Amino acid sequence: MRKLFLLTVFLGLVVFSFAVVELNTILGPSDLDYYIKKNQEFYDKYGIRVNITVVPYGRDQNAKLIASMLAGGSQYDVFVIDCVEVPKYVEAGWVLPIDEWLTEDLKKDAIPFALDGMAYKGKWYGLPFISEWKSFVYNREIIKKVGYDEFPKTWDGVVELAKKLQDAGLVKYASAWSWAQKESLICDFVAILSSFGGKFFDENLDPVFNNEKGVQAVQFMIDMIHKYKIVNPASLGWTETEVDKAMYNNDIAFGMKWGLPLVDLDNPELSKGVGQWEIGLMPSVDGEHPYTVSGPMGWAISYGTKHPKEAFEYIKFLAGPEGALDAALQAGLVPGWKSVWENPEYLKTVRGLDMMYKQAMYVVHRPRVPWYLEFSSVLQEELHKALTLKKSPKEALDDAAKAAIKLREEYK
Amino acid sequence: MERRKRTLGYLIILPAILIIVFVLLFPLLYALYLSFFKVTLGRQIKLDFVGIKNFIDIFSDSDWWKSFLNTIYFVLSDILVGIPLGFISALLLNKKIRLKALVLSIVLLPYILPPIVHALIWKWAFNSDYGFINMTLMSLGIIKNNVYWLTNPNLALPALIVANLWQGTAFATIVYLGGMKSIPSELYEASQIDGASNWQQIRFITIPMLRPFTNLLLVMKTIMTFKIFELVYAVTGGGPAGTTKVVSYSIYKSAFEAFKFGKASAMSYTLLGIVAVIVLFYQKLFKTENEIL
Repeated sequence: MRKLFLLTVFLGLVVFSFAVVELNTILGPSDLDYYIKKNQEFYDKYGIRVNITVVPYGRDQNAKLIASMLAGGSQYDVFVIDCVEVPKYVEAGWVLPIDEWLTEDLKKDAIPFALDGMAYKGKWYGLPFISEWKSFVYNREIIKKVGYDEFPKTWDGVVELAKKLQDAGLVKYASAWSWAQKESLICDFVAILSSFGGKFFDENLDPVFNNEKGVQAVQFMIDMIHKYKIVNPASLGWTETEVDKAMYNNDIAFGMKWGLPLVDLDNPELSKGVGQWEIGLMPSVDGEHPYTVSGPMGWAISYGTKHPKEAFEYIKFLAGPEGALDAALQAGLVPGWKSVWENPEYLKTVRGLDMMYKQAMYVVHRPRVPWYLEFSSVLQEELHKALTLKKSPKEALDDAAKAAIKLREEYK
Repeated sequence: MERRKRTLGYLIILPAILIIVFVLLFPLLYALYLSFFKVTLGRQIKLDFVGIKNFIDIFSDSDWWKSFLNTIYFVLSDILVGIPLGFISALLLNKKIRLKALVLSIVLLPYILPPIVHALIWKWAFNSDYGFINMTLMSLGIIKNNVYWLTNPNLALPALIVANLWQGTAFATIVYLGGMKSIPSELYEASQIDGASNWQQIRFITIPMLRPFTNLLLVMKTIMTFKIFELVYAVTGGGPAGTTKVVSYSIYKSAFEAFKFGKASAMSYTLLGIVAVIVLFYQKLFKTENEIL
C-alpha cells in the first residue's frame, strides 16, 4: 500500500513537472533586481517561472541570442530587442509576430514611434519597453544671464544665443555632442537631418539623405564646430557619457540626452546644475521640424519558443501599459504608452515629463533596414570625414549613399 | 610494460588533446572553411560557396589596405621604438638602484593591466578637456590651447601608437630583464679586468647575449601587435574619419556587426598568412640563434 502511494506521488510529480511552464530570457545587469522582483510576481500570479541568464553587459546578449536562434531558438523564449535590430531579426525569421495578441486598445494606447519601432513590413514583433528618445535640454539659469527666458526654436537662434553665452564668458563652448565615430554620431545626425526636413531613404529604399537638406544638415554640424565654434571640438571623440558629464559640470548650456534627463541633472551627487536644466523641443531650421531620434526597445518572442501564449502573457505583464507604469515608477524606465504618460502619478515623479511627452510626438527612427548596422558603420566614417574637413559634405554623403545602394543590393 | 606505460600516457593527455581539438583546431578549420562561403544567418546557417571571392574582395578593398597600413604603423613602432626602450629600461632596472622593487612594479604595471583598462586610462589621459597630458603640457607652458589628440585626424594614430608603446615597452622590459639575469656575471668581471667600459660591456656582451631574446621579442611583438584591438575599440572606435582603423577591428565589425562571417574569416586568414610569412622570415633571418623560439 505504502509502495503504491509513493509510486502515485512520484508519477504525480513527474506529470506535474511536465505540466509546469517555464520561460527563459537573457538580460544585462541593468535593473536586474527589478526583473527578479517582477518574475516572482509573475510566478505568483500565473504559476509560470521565468529564468534569467545574465550577461555582463546588455549588448553581450546578442552573440548568445544569435547562437540560440541558429540552434532552434528555444533557449530563450523572450528577449529585449533594440529597434535597429528588429528588421534583421525579422528577415532572419528569429522573432514571432505578435499581431494576433495585440488588441486595438493596445495599438491605440501605444505612442506611435514606440510601437513603430517594433514593427516591420506591416507586422508587430514586440511590445515597447524602455521607449527612449534623445531629449533636448538646456540650462535655464545660464541662458537667463544673456536675457533669454525661452530657448530659441530655430538653429539660427541657437547660434546667436550660443555666441552670446560664449562672448559673456559663461561657457567656453555652448554645446557638446556625441560625434565620435560611433553609433552615437548617427543618432545625433538623424535628429539634425530631420530638423532640416531631411530623411534617409524614399519608399523604394533609394538614398535621399545626400540631397540638399542632408548637405545643409552636415554643413551646419561642421559650421557649429569650425565656423561658429559653439560646439566643443572634443565632441568628435565623445559619446553620450562625455556629453552627460559636460552637462553635469555646467560646462555647456545645451545638448541632447537619452532617457529621463532631469533625473540625473537634478541629482546633486552627479550634477552641479540641480534645478537649472529644462527639457525643450529640439530646435530646427525653421522652427517647424522639432524632430529628435528614437531608441526604443521592446520585449519580443523567439520563433522557437514552445510556449508562445505564455511568452506573450509575460511580455504583456512586463511591458504592457500596467507593467510599463510599474517599470516607470519603480525603475525609472521610459514608458511607450500614452496612458502612462498621461497618468498623474507618473507625471509627478520627475520634472519635465510634460515637455518630454510633447517631444515624443516628433521622434524619428534610424533607417529600418536589415543592413542597418553595416550602413551605420559606413555613414559614421563618412560623416566623420566631413566633420574633420577631409571631404565636403556632399562628397561624404554621396559616398555613403553609394555604399547604402551596394548593401541594399547585397541583401536582396 | 612499456606499451602499457605509453597507453597510460596517451590516456592522461587525451582530455587536453580533446580540448585543443574542439576549442582550438575545430574553430580554426571551420573559419578556414567559412572563408570560401557567403554566410547568411537565418533559422539555420546558409552557406553559398563563393570560392576565393571573399579574398579577392579583401584585396580590392581600399579600406582593408588602410587598416592594414595602420596596423603596420603599430607593429613597426612597437618593434623599432618599443624594443629599444624596453632594452634601456631593463638595463636601468638591472642595476642596483634605490626602491628597485617599487620602480620595477611601476615600470611593469602596464603589462599586467587588462587591455581594456589600459585603453580607458589612455582615453582619459588624451581627453582634451580633462586629460592629464594637456594639463601637464599647459602647466609646463608647452601648449596654450587644448590639443585634440583623439579627434584630430593627424594626431589620433600617433596618440594611439604612444599608448600602445606604453604596454609594449613593459613587455620588452620583462623579457630583457629575464635575459640579463641569465648572462653569467663572469663575463662582465672578465671584461672589467680587461678594462672594458660600460658601453663596451653593453655592446660586446649584453647585446650579443640577448640576441635570442630580441628574436623572441620580434616574433612575439609582431604577432601581438598585429592583433591590436581593444585600444582602438575603446578609445577611438576607428575614428576620427577612419584614421585609426586596424585589421582586427575591421574583422570584428565584419563578423559581429555585419554578420559577414565568411568575409571576416577570410580577413582573419589573410592576416594569419601575412603574420606567418613575417615570422618565417624572422626564423630564416635568425636561423642560428633561435634556441628559445
